[in-house]
Amino acid sequence: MATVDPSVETQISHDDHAHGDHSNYLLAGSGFKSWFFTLDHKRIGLMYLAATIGSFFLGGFFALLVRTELLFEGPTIMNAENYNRVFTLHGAIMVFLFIIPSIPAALGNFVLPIMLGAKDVAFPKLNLASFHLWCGGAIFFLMALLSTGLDTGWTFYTPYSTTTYNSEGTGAFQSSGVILATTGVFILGFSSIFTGINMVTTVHTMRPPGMTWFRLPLFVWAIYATAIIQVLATPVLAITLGLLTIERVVGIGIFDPAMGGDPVLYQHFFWFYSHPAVYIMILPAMGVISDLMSVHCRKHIFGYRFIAYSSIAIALLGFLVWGHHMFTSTSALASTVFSALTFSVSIPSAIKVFNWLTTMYKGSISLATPMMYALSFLMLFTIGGLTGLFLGTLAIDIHLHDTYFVVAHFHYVMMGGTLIAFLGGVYHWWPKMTGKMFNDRLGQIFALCIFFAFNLTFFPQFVLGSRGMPRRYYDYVPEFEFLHQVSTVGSYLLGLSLVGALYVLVSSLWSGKKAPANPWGAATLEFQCSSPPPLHNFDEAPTVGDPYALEDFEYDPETKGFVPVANPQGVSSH
Amino acid sequence: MSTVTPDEQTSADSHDHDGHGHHEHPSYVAHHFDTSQQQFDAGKLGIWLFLAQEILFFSGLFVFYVYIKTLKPGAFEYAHSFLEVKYGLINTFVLITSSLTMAWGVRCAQLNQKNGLKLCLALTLLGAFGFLGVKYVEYTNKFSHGLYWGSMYTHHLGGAHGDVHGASGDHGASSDHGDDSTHGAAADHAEGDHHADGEHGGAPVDVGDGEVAEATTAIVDADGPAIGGSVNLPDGAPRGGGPGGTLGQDGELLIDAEQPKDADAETLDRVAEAAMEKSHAEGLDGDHAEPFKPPISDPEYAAYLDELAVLYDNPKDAGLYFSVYYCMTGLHAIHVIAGIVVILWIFLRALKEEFHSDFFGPVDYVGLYWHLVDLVWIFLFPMLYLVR
Amino acid sequence: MSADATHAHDEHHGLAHSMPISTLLTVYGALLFLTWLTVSTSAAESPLSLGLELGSAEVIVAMAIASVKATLVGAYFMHLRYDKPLNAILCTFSLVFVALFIVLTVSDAVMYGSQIEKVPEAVAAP
Repeated sequence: MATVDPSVETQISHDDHAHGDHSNYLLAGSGFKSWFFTLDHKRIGLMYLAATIGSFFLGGFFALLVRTELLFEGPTIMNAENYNRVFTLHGAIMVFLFIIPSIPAALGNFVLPIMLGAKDVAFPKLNLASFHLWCGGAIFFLMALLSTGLDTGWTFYTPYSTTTYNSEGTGAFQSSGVILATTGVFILGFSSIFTGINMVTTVHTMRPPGMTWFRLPLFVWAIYATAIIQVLATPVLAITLGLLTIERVVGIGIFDPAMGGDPVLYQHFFWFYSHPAVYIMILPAMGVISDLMSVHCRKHIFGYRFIAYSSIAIALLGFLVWGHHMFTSTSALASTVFSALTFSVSIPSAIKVFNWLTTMYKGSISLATPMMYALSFLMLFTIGGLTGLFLGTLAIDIHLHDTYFVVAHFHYVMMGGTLIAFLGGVYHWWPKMTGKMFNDRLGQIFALCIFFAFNLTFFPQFVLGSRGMPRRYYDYVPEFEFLHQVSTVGSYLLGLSLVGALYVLVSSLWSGKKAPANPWGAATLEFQCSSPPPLHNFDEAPTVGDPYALEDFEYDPETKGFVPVANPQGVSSH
Repeated sequence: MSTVTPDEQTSADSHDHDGHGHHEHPSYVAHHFDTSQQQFDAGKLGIWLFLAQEILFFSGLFVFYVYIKTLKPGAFEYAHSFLEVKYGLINTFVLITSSLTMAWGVRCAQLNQKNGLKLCLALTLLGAFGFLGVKYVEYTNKFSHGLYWGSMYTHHLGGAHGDVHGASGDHGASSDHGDDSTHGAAADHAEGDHHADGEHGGAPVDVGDGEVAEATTAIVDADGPAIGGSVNLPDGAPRGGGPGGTLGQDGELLIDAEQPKDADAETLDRVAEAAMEKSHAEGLDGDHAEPFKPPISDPEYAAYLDELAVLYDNPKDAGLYFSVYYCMTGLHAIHVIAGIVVILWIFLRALKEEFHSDFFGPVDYVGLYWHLVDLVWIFLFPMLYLVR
Repeated sequence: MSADATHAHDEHHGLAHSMPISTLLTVYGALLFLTWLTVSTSAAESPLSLGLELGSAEVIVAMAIASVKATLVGAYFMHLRYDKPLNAILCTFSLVFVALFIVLTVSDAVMYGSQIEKVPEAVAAP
């Protein structure tokens, strides 16, 4: 919504089939209705993009409040109760409103059908419905935020979420924040499920002739694997939060030991979804990186099939390891089993990292902004992934459980991984989405700033955690003050750099040069249509070939983009 | 999954894949599909994905069920014996039959038998409503005996053993006479009453509608003297109550520590002691109401259940079983209601004769959904009604 | 809306396999028989009961019968047998995950449960 191209000024009716410029989806209709009720996957993708970026900055604002509170020992800007609310909202907004829909729903919606060569996703109305559900879920979150807040942590652990009440409100809905937020997450869950159903079906049934499974770009494989998790794991979250809500409202007792229930059961339920959800967050990022690596190294992706299969492997193994979030509450045997299974997930992840490195080897690496993010991803994700092995090790986890080490670990994976890849993807496809080139130099500078500020923020947290600083604490002992201050300063710089990165993108809408159809020389189909794409994606049927046959494209100084060479190799090979 | 159809292609082969295939597009094929076959296949995969998520959606409740079955076998057996097989059996028959008519309806749609389709859908709808009707009777029956979920479980065997059930009695009752949306407030109200004057504890109960009154009379009678003395289940009061309730409860918890019937102490000693006290209390108060017992005719087994009742006839244990019972059948009933809505939608479209052998996707998809509802019930029936 | 149905795709008969009435009725009969079987073999009181005492095997028998019924509904009423295998695989996958969820969660609950408190064993069955 916020990204409505300001150049769209044509005054036409809302019926985008009857009127409007079909050669440019941005001009195919105007006005609020032509966006909010559109069935065009590209517009829905853009709305998701705006909505998730908005949520990101809201969540980021809460993160800065948390860091500010921790700047000095003792109370700094808020009391402990508000601190609980602020870190909860930071986590809940980032996870449910930003990370989960970010790449699959925003980039996936925009890019995936075009990559396949399809006119739209399989169920455009369902697609729009998921976006509307997202909006509904977000409204519930805002209501929770504005009513009494939410102070349970984003995981809604019982008994915090079922028995604690704060001083505002009346009756069973006292501290109604919990009920509003769980309702919101319930709705967001169905938004995510519907997106997943759409993506799987689109990949299966909307491919044109010639687009075989192994001609799919790796981003499509990643979204496909993600969508499977979305479909199979998210309903468990829905039923969990449903049970939690009725437990709180009418007291069914399932999570309440006083009635024979079991609070640890809640943790099982929650993590049965939320661990696969970690892969909902990271798999699409891996898909983005696979595409960026190849294109910006001007080299065919190394180990295509291994990367594709490892996405599926991660998706399936991701269902087996939820217990590693609860090593301190499960029995010894279950912990051991889960610990062993956890290590198995590192194998497909490592396969991907090695394949990316090998793709870079002897490639012609261009340091365009998307590639800067891809390189950041590689370093940050590797740190995040390796520290994950520490946490998967049973004995070490007992020491590190619920400390800042865990906080640093998942920020390296979620933020250093997913957010950075998201930014890389947004920069990579921005010319395609808007038809405008951004200022690459400025983009590079901010990418570098983000990388350093990120490490400044989160690396000290590894040290803090290994020295015993527990997460979610309002206060700390004086020994920790210096490292907390380093982290807080880093977080301010990180916030500024992110605003800068956003500025580079937004300013291109006004001052950017017109983007060529294929600015990076990619061989995937979305760069075969014009920038921005026409309403039905392709004016003429695209030539389907190897998505990484980069040698088939050469730089054309006239359009400042890439054009197909006269005698392409890739179409016949592979 | 990826290896299943490595070379699967869309069925668009015979059609050219240009951007605007509008020319030979029948009106029932959406613009982004090339053929009705592609549209049908997409819809079919979509609905199967939806059904897969439905299975996972129910999985949480199955875990809940297996948890109780495994960890609370005694309470499970006791509480389970209240369910009457006849209701489950009738509903199984109704659902299987409506599944048949649905499958038949899909066949009719495929073969252009428009009147047959209308008839089949109407019969399916009838089955769905019949199912809900039986469920209504069954729920009403359970409610009237205080067989509620978790904290609201107010059933009790004896005419009087008020101390445990006093607190939860308030809640069950308050949800009876208040409507659901104001339940929280109602609970609070009951809470307030009971703090204000102890001997009035059970009073809100008989405000309830007719059916409830009979069963709860016993509670009123029993609670009169008992409630003032103690309310000792920590789980009863704070449910749905506010901080006032919690605080009040805390205060009472201190007193309760001395009560012999401590909810958490489940050693046999204490249970025996409690049983003695219970029979003592019954002796004092006299048996006003005939206790509602599980409908079991085998005297030996009934006696065994009586023994179990001493242990489990309280919200802590039997209530948990009814929680899973209401959660599972309730969620299933919600799906039945959703099924009614979509079948009605299909039915209306069938009346307009929109379906034919080239376009019957929606009938098929709704049919698949309806079969899933049937499938879930096929498992729920033995799990809840039959298995001990 | 579909009045013009005849103008295109006349050759396109059979988007999917249609189920013969005899199959439908046979499956229906089998489902009713299995329902009778599961009720009559269970210990729960009903007019149909055969009065068997299967003990702990009761759960297994009941669940096995339910699974057969579910398979019948899936294979015939839901056309899985004649569909693309993908749908059946999808269904299987979801069931596998449900099984995993149940087994791992409950087995863990049993194991730590014994560490927390002794579940009171009911009075010995008569």
